[in-house]
Amino acid sequence: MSIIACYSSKGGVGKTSTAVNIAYAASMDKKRKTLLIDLDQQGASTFYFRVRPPKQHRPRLMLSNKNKAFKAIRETDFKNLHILPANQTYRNFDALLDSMKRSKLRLADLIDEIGYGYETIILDCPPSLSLVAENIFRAADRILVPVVPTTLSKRTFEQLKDFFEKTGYKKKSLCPFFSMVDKRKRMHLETIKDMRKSEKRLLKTAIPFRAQVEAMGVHREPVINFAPKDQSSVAFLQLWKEIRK
Amino acid sequence: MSSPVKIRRWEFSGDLSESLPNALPQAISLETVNFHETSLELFDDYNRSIVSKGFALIKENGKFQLVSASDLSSIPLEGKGCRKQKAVFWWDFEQNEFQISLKNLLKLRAASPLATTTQQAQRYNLRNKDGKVIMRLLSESWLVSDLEIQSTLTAESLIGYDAEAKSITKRISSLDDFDSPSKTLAWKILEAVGSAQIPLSPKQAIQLNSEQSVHDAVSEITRTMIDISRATEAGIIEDTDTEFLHDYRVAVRKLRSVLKLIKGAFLNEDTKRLKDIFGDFARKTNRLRDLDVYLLNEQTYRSQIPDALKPGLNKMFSDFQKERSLQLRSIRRHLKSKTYQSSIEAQRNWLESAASSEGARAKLPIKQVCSKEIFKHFKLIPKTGVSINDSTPDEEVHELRIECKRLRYLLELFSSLYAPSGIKFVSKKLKRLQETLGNFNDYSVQQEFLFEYIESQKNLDNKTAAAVGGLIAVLNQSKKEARSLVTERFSEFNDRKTALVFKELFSKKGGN
Ligand SMILES: Nc1ncnc2c1ncn2[C@@H]1O[C@H](COP(=O)(O)OP(=O)(O)O)[C@@H](O)[C@H]1O
Ligand SMILES: [Mg+2]
Repeated sequence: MSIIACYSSKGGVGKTSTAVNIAYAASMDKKRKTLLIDLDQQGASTFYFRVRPPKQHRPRLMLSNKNKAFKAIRETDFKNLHILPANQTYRNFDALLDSMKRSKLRLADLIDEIGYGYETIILDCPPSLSLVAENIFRAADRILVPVVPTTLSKRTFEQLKDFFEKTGYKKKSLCPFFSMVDKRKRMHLETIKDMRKSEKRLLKTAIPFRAQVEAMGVHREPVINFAPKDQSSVAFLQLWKEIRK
Repeated sequence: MSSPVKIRRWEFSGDLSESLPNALPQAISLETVNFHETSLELFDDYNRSIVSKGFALIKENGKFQLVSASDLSSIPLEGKGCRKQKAVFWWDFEQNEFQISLKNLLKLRAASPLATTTQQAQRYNLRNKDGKVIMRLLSESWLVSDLEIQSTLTAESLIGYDAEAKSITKRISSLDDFDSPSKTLAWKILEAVGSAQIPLSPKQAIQLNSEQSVHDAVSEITRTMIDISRATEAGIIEDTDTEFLHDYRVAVRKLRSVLKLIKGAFLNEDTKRLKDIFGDFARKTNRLRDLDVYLLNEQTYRSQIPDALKPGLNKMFSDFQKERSLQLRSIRRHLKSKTYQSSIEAQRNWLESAASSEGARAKLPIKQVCSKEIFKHFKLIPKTGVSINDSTPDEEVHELRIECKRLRYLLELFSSLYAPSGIKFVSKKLKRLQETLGNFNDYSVQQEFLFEYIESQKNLDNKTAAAVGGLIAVLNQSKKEARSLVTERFSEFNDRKTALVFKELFSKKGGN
């Protein structure tokens, strides 16, 4: 089983778009049994699969009673892709985790239980640098970090590395990649050039900025499914191939 | 992780596109997805062993699969590595779960293609108002030579959408013309091609009733056994598998043993004639059967001698194989010959008008007579058995074996007249003793067979001589081991409980 998180402390950088598409790509790759866990209270990836969060699905229950989480899992329209939907009450997630002993391992424990039988587990993460984030760092084998090539994003990624350094997490698991790349923007091109020199860990694949990705909100499907030939679909597939084991 | 499941299956008639929308709630839409047509061959053996046990062996696009007999599109076990077109054995496949299952189903039999069927499959998605798929439907039509033999609709639930699926299946079930499938699909396919009849097997007990006369019962057994042996002829001639010859021999053996063990059904001269003729038929096949047994056990033999000696068996087995071809050719010629055909037919016809051939016990009720015979033979076993110890000559052990065999034949022939539980108990008891006696005998016979082989070879090479010699030594050891068990097995059989049950079942003073 391999656990891949799509994480950034920033919002709107393409975490969800990436999580949804690589989960789809994984499930179509030799029929891998794949579970997408939507950890973001906004439930964007849940929405993209046309799933409604089940009632009475609260994190306190979820963590204390694994069976509840198990029952909340939904089969998407695509046979080998299942989703554990998001829930509005994740607002309390931090406080909840905080109140627990061994709190940094709660998510890893949950995945251990409900992840049985899945070959790939994808985490769509909320933007934060809190206990939830640390739960994610503990649970994931690799952490995909979308970086929009701007000076600000570059700094954000440096901060994440510093945090890993300070807290002793393995930087090896960090996999930054360029997201929402617009080749017409000079700043994008320059940041890419600059970062490629200094950052060895950067994945080769970059996801271009494409209208079809935004159109996922209308189609409510992974872009790879409704526009397989679009550059963004090709890039997401490429990204999956680059990180799969 | 849990998997999506087929939750319900209906047999339906009529047009789905008309009936189905009526069953769906307003908010649910029906989406027609892909259509798929495929053709597959259904395989089974002479006894329909696979379909009888609820499985189906199918070949689709050159690939063998084991599926459920009622749902040919169920998740299959896949056979690997078999390139054969016609008859297949379990050992034609690579070792995996499929092979193990097939071995359990077929044993020594071959499965042959019996029918070809076409599946037309149409998939549907049911979507809720969010456009989310909440249930899948699969409509399948099965055709045999363009004739539709079954249409089914299968509902598959999605994980997390069980409630929706449950309510919709309930609605579909309430539609007219949607019912649970009436019959197993694989059987329907076999019926459509006229292959659903399971041929009589000599192992099946003949159904008799207590009031039948001896003449009547013995005639019936004799007649049935002739019919069974005749039905196996084609399989022997085609050499589909070795079980055809085996069944042929079992049928002939049963025919002869009923005549021998229940005397006085027919006039003596008629009984003798039947015994002689069928004795001849059986003898003709002895050598071929022996060779079959050696060849079937090749792997066992090889495993019993040291690796270094193993190559030395190649020549012997290839000699056996050659001899088998010759034997088979001669058996084919014999079975097809006018002499054989008219002779067996004449006996079969004679039975139809055998009413006038009445022996001394012809009119007695069968149960009375066979009970007496069974009890008599049962009592003969201790008589031969008690005196056996480790130093008694082998001849006495053989005598005990033959006595046990007679008793077993009687029990097999007449089991339908007694309480199944009683028969089961005594058969089990007897079987244990017989197994040891049988092993003892088999090992001696095999030893002799190998000796004969060595002696028949001029200028036998060293390697072969060493390997066969090794095998003979192993057989001798096994024979000794079986021999040393005889006394113990005999005393297990010769206990009060067994005697009581035999008495209860078969003696006049008992329950009868
Ligand atoms: N490669 C892309 N091209 C165009 N728009 C994108 C791309 N990736 C993301 N977006 C859009 O940007 C917004 C934020 O993306 P999202 O994947 O939800 O990011 P996050 O999960 O990091 O908040 C969404 O409206 C999404 O449609
Ligand atoms: Mg998001």
